[in-house]
Amino acid sequence: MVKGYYPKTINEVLEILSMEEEHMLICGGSDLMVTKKFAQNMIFINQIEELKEIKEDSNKIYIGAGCVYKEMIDNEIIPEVLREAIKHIASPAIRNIASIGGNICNASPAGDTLPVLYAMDAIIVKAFINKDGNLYITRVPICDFILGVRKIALEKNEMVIAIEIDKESYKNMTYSYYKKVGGRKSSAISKLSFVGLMKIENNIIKDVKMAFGAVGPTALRSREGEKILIGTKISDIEEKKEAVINFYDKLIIPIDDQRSTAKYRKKACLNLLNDFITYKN
Amino acid sequence: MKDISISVKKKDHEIKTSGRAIYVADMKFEGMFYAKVIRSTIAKGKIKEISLPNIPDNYYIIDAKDIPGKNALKIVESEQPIFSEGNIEYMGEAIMMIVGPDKRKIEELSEKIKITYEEEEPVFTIEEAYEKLVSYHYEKGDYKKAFQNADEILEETFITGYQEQAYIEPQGVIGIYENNKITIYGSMQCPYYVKEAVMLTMGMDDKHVQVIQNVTGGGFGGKEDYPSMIGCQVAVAAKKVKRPVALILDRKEDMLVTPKRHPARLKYRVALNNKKEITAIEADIRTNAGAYLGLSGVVLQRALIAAIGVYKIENLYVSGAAMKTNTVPNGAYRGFGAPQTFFAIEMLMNHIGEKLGLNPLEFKKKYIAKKGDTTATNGKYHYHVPLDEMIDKAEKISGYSKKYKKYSKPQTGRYRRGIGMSLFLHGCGFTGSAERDYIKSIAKLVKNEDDTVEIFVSNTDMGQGLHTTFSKIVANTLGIPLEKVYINNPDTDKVPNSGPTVASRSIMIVGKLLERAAKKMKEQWKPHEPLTIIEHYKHIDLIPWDIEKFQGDAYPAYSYGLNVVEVEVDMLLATTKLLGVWGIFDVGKAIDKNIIMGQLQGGMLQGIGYASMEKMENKNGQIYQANMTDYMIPTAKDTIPFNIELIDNPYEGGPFGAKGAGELPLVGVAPAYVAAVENAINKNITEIPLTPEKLMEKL
Repeated sequence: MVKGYYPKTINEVLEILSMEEEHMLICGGSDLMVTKKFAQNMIFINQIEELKEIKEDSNKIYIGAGCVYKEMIDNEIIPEVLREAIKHIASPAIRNIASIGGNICNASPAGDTLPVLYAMDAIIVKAFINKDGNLYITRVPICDFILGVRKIALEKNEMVIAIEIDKESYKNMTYSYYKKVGGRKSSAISKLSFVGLMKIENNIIKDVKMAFGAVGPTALRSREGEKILIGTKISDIEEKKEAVINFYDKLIIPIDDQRSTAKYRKKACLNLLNDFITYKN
Repeated sequence: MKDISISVKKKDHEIKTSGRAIYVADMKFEGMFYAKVIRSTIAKGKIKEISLPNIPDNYYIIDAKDIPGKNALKIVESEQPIFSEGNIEYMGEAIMMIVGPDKRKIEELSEKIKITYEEEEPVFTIEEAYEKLVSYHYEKGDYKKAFQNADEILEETFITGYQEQAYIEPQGVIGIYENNKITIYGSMQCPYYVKEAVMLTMGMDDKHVQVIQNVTGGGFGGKEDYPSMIGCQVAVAAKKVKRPVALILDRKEDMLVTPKRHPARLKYRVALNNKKEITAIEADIRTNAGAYLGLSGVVLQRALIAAIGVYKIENLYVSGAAMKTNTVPNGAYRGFGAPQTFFAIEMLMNHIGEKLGLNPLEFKKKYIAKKGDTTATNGKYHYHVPLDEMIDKAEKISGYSKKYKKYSKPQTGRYRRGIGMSLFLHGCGFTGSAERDYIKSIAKLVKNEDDTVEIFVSNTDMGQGLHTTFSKIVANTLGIPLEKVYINNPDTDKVPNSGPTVASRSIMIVGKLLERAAKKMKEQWKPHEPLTIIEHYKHIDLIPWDIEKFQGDAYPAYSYGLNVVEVEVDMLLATTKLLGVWGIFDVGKAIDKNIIMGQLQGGMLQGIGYASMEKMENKNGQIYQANMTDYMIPTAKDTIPFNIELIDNPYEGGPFGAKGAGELPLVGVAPAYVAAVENAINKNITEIPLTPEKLMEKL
């Protein structure tokens, strides 16, 4: 027999999770349902209002893990580049039920919110109830939360309750760039994706954040690569370009699979990178 | 009388839009068992040993030993076993079946079956293949002399890929054995094919096998032969266990084991004289048949007949073979061999034209066949060939030549544009004299006392609107309201054999029988008196078809098509965006405008998919893209509204002048699409699907 729970609050979820048995959290189910693996206890969390909050203060935004894509697309608090990425995920029906928390916890190499969240140094907010019955909240950067293909840093008694993004990471950017390349324009798993954010002041690149999706076990971001560009004068970009592209040429090691080829993925990634860094020229 | 083309509400509109239609997977019978096929996990070899777990009560293993008749699937020949007797020719070949009441238990048991094999060296590709399952060749004129005297000889090889029908409803059947009689329900195109196959496998006569078509969620050729296979499998099981047995494939199994469009390799040689005119063409067409012949011979016939497209070339040598490989047997998909050949011949003509510095269309125009010309196989174009008018119309609505000229100038920047055009035809009905010699269609009309009229034919509505169009033909001929005419899904105990629902034949051949039957009924019509009219096929023999020599009229009539595609290529990503898609078609006369538009738009979109994104690979004998996530078919967002126009060119052999329309719209899209991409990037392309991965190599 498997059990199903419909908790109404985060606390109730955490209480169930602190029990001995194994449980699976299910929100929209758009990834889980196709796996057809339901022989375990399920906690349905799509009705929990606390998980659907989107709010901001002067420094950061807070997105409840249960927010579905459609709600995020329609909410202006959400950074434009993240909304752009979400608009290209799956199809309207999926966007009405699939949650941001689910996309993160599924930790697919082709998860489309991941490169954007990596580029913005998103923070994963986790919660658990300790044996003494107290509620604990912990925060971990997304790059430390996602450990590999479908592997995440989440204990049996923990759940992801929200994502926090520092406004500094996107607000004062001069421009942002996002491109998903799928086998078709809708309902397609990414062959690759690219996100770039650039801040230019006085014709100098002050900051740049770039991440690639679906070309490695998880989203690929390299501060070392970004450093090559930071401090560069716009007029000198052509000179720096080669070094940047060579750097990422070595870094990106995609695979051949049923959706695309390593060769294509690499070439398209480098073409997009080139297009991004020379965008303002 | 209103113009028959004016659209009506489809006969199956209510039942389908309300969700009340009963598909085979919706049917439940008392005590029904489920079946799962155990399939080979190697591509070639012999079964060494099968070790079975303990089979609990109420669960059964069904295999070759349970077959009462012949262990052979009747398609064209009967070379394929229903269950393997030890020999394995492809991965996924049926070895046995487990049946029982609980699907999960069946799953569990199936995982415990261990089969060991003695593996043999398989072949997977046309290049590796050495055995021809069937081959044909034909000649016209003196091609040898033309090549000897040629000023220049050009050679080009074209490659086309698999294509999966991707019907929305996976394949499924239910078999019932009662009172020494087998009844099969299922999703299918050809109830009598299933019936004949089951008779052979069960060793039962005509009276003891009944086949009933369920509402069918798409076929596109994919449900021409395979329902016979699963029909036989459940028939054997139902007889053994004395209970209804359901075999419903899930999407993955369906994609792994059912037939697809043949991958092909087409080698062309062209002789040009000193005026740079084509004097002769030599073509060698090889298809990947898969492990068994199945429909590959007849598919190959269509491919060969289309070798020179819509053109008139005096000297020819055309040969072809269906090559045996240890892969899933391929079969029918809308177009039936023609899309492969039209891709090759149209690209070839474009390439020659461009090499000579001409707009490809201007080059092609010199060779377009006219009424009275001979066909490739020394048949004749007996009726008007409307391609000239169609070209004029296409120029007007698409601006093809102007755009071609503009886009042919050097382009720069990330986005580049191109436009391409294709000309094509499709022979309606079975090839040659098969309608007369094998099919021998019979249609029946029954007038009831209440003056309603029921149509009895074996042709199936699988979404293409046949119930509506057949009813319209009968109602309009009789001059009675459409509501008074009705038709049910065929049940072979009730309907005569009017042939299979394939080959763009239903409207032209069977529709004509119904029109003739309705005319007779009208003459004998007496209110409130029952009346039955039975009508037999009458062959219009023009130039007799000789299959041995591959000579004569391959088809009584042809439908014609023209496509223009305009694209924008993103040079960074090697992706394309459709800017315009045009189609001009001659289907004789549309029996229903909406239905025809549905057929044309759907077929053209499948053509776009075939040309661009529908990539399927066979890796070591197994289909690599075996779900709808990995096998990409175009969505609404990948397409744009198509501009489609019809040319009126009524054909006397069809009802109200109608010709075949089912396959035509898929046949010519790929060459138009690829030509558009070529125009944008100024490079020659010879392979489809032209995926971004392939295109990137050209940029």
